[in-house]
Amino acid sequence: MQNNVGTHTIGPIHVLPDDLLALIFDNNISPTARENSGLKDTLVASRVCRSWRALLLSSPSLWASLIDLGCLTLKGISEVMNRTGDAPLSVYANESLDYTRACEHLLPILAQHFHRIRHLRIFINLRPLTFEMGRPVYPTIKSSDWEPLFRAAPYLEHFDLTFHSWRRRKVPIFRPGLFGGQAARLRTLCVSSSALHPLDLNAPWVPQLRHLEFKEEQVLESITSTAWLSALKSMPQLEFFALKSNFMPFNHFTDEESTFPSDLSAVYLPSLTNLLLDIRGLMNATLLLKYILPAPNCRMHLTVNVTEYITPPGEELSELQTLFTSALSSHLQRWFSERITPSSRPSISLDVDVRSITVELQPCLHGVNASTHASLPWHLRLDSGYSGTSSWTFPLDAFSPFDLGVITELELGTDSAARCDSSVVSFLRSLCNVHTLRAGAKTLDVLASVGNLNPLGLSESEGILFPELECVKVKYLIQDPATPSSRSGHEPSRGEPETELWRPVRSFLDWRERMGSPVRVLDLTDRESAGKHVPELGDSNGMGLLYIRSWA
Amino acid sequence: MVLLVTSDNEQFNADKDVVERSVLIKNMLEDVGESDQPIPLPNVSSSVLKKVLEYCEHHRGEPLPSADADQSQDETRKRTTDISEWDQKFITVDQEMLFEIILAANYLDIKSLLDVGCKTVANMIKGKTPEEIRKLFNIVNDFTPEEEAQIKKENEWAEDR
Repeated sequence: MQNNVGTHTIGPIHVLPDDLLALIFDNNISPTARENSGLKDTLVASRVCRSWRALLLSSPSLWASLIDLGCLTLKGISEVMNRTGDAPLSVYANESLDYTRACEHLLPILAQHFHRIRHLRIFINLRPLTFEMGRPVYPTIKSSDWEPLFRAAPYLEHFDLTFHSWRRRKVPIFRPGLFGGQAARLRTLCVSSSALHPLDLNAPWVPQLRHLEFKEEQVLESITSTAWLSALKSMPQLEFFALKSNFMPFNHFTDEESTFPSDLSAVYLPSLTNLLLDIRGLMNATLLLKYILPAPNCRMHLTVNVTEYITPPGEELSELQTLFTSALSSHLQRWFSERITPSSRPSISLDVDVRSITVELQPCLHGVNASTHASLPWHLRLDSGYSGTSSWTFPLDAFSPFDLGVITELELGTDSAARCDSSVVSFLRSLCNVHTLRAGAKTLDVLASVGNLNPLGLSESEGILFPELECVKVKYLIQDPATPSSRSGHEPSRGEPETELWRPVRSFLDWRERMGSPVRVLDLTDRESAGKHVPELGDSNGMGLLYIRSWA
Repeated sequence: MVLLVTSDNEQFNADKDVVERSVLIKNMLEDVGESDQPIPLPNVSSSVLKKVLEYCEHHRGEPLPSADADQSQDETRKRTTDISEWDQKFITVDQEMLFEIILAANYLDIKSLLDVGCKTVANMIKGKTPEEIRKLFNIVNDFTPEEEAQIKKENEWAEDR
């Protein structure tokens, strides 16, 4: 047993005064971490020695950052809250809460402490409580439970409260007057449509917003594109705007600009560097693309949903698709020519489908965090939202105004029947400076097949696709490698994942190697869980290839 | 050029835009105006100042966190555990130097360097047991067994999820 009171530390760390030690403990907290490691590490630190414990227990602001409702029990919340003193609170959950848990864990905090909340980040999934006679029984939602949110919020900086429900009107609908109109420090607002009354777009805290995410849920009342354009005019400091909207007020399927409301004018947002639109209906998309004028280097993520059930009777979907691609093409051309410069180092995310560079056909994604794609310098994805079997061609014309040689990062998607025809190859060949390729194993297989079989009559003088390619990021390599494939016929060398999916990757690597343009870095960390499924790999396969299994 | 004098009386000449990454020095220069007078840094030794200047030189020209930056931005910056590759290499020093750099960054008011130092120590602590942390930093366990048992009991709420 050691009990050296007064000589707690004898290492060099003893030179640090308490305020710097507290700063280190503060850095130890990571509210964005998937697991609640901040609380665990803080509790561990409090068991190191008496002086550390005393310091930690007398640091209310530190405990005020550890209120993870996804992990803490009610007793845990009470213990942590007791240590927060009067410090402004960060209340969050890294996983979704069901409504019962939200009522038990979140509502009491809001009722007693909303006035001192600084950060709130909660996602509430209003899933059925149970099923009776095969019918879902939903929790009883009382909008009055959320009344504390209509009080003044003097410390509030970050408000992220999203409700998700598959059932229309099964979410609490907020009245106007969020934060009592008083949230002088608010900079980030992320809400679902039910949690923001359209009238609140005129609130005093709106002009100071830097980050605004709006996700529309299944409610009848919503905010139109034109109302958004009007509201955005009062947000000159906005840096990030993500709008996911199913609302389609216009019964139009063409993009005749003459049908745009005549009173619209351009909205200059000089600080806007991220624009993420996931909207239904062509006109909503083109209106926003036309009138929002962001910073020159603004990143864009665009998803336009065109679903079968909005096709007017008697209209052929294929004709509408042609109109859509043509109209979008002209707007995108303008966007590209105004926004993309060689110095902005854009990257492109496209889906390669059966016939050409096309839109991948898949149902639109719900509940996807719009900021997921924000890390890409420039990201374009067109999603038809249509789950049929046909596909429609991506508007290649849209890219004509700018030099594809500036693209250094490329993401390719594919479906299982993908093939490359001459127009695809021609397009890919113009992306001559790509050094990082993100693609699924099947896409890599298709590209290798093109190279191996030379079915398009490519001469050697044309050279290899992507001559500058150095790094390949493999998407979706998540099959359990512990199960050796009996069908592959491929004998994996030491350190390779033994999967059926691995064969096409190997084929791609072999092709690059044979053509004298080997891949230098193979990144298998695309998904957070993927690394767990890939066995430990050597640093090299003997050819100078670096595998990255986990950035950690 | 600006002349800096360390606690062990060594003199360092450095470009103004390099040393002005230190808010302390920047303010001193603004206060004294154009002058050839050396700036004394009684809390910084020559070996530490050499490292600090290496850091400032590398990050010369990068935007400084503004004094009126949002607290939320400050929090975000502080709580991101990422450290750039160069910074990681730079801060790979023995513990004595690491803590001296943190002290110097705090005294000279170089926020980004202070962040790098604190994050490095925070990363060293992460995921370790109390005993591993004591061993790492040579800290004596001054709790009695009874106190340790009591603390463990008090923390049961955190285990009970």
